[in-house]
Amino acid sequence: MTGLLTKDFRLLTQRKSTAVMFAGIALMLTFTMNASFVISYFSLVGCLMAMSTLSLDQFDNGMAFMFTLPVTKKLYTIEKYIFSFLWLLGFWFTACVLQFGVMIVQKTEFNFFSVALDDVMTLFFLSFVIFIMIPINLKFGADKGRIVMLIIFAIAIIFVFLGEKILTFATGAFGIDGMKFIVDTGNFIAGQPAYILALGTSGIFIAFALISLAISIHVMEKKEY
Amino acid sequence: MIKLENLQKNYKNFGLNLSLEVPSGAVIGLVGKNGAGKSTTIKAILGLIKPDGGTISVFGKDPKDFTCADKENIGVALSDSGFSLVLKTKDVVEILAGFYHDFDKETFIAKCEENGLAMDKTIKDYSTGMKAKLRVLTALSHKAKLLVLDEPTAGLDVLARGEILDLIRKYLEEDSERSILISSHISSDLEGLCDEIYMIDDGKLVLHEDTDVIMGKYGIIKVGTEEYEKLDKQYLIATKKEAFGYTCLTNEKQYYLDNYPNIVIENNDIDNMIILMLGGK
Repeated sequence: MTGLLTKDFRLLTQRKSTAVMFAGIALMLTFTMNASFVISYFSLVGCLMAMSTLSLDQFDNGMAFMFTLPVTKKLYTIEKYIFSFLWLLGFWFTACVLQFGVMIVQKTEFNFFSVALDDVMTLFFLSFVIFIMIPINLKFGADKGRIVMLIIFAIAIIFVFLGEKILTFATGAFGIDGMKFIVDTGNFIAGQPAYILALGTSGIFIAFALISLAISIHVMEKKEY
Repeated sequence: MIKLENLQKNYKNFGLNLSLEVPSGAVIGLVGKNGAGKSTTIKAILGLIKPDGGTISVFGKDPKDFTCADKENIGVALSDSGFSLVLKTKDVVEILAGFYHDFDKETFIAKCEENGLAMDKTIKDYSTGMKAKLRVLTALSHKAKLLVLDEPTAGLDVLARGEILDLIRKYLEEDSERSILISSHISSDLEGLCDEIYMIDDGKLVLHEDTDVIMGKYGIIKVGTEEYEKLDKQYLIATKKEAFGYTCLTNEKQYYLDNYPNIVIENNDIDNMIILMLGGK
């Protein structure tokens, strides 16, 4: 695992100019726009950078050599999740420090817990991006993987659009207020004690991580190089 | 150390069916034309592809069951795959240190510098020869008991090939238990290195012989058409029609030297053998 983590870290730190550029943009955005946008933006950059190690590994038939090293397919897959999450966490944490620093410097009034909760939700959301992207990248490769991701997002948008239409139709045709049901469910969840919410969120997070990992390992075990 | 029994792998226009053994302390050469199945064999041994039939045993274990610890005993250089080109030599040093318990950092750095691989240089800026050296040095870096080298000298000039073969020879001298499986289509590279040669063509074994026998007992006979007609053909294993008559490969050079003192009989080498066996009729 140490060798793999070292490899990924060194692959990404070769791109110093890119990182500096992104940091500059993030700094600029912090002073000119909504600070919470910076958290999302900066963390997304971290997330995409971590994913780029997959394409760097795959480039030039690199996976064949990779599995001649003391690396099993299972270990490789687990390491990708660990590294991607740690890298995302690093970018996210840096962005959070930046955000709070700027708000303090600008003497902006803010509720620490409310802002921190927003930031945690961003981390949570981007972790799901990792859980979706890794198996897709492993299955289809880096280039085809991007196309598959776009298709998935397009399907998700269509699904949301159709869902709204179906809810509106159901309300008119059957007198079932679907939107009210969703809002009520949301309010019910929001009304739960903080520890229940934290446990539930962690449970969902772990379940998704494990399902994604299991799919990725299954994909990798079938691959030949 | 390696034992293949009827290893089979089928692709659309190619089928491999091979048995092969690499004993402890031996250097085995795998020769054949491009596309003969050398890389497929090596990939199967390393567990990079799944065989369709037969058995593979490396250190008594099926490669699909290899653990990380098992892989530490094998040093590998592939012709078409290596570390990411964006890395520098110093990155490779740290990565290998993270992978191998027996990685000797000081020696590796010293050997890199001896061979002109600067620590601060990015791999993509290396020449073809430097990239090949890095691949071989990586394979030699962690005291592996078994080396599997797929075309380690492909695309290199004579000098660079010589330097790489020297690295391999020195590695062998350090421990008599070390074994090597090396593939090449540049057969002269293997003559001074290998104990045995497996020649494959179109996925099948066409010859397995000790290198000493190939070099000593085998010979090349060059005769005109009339002389060829009179020649005892029982020890000719390959014949090729030429403008002047025939070139023949025999595995009993001495027989023809004794019985046909007036014909031209040259010493054999692996390149000639490949030309005659795989290109003859």
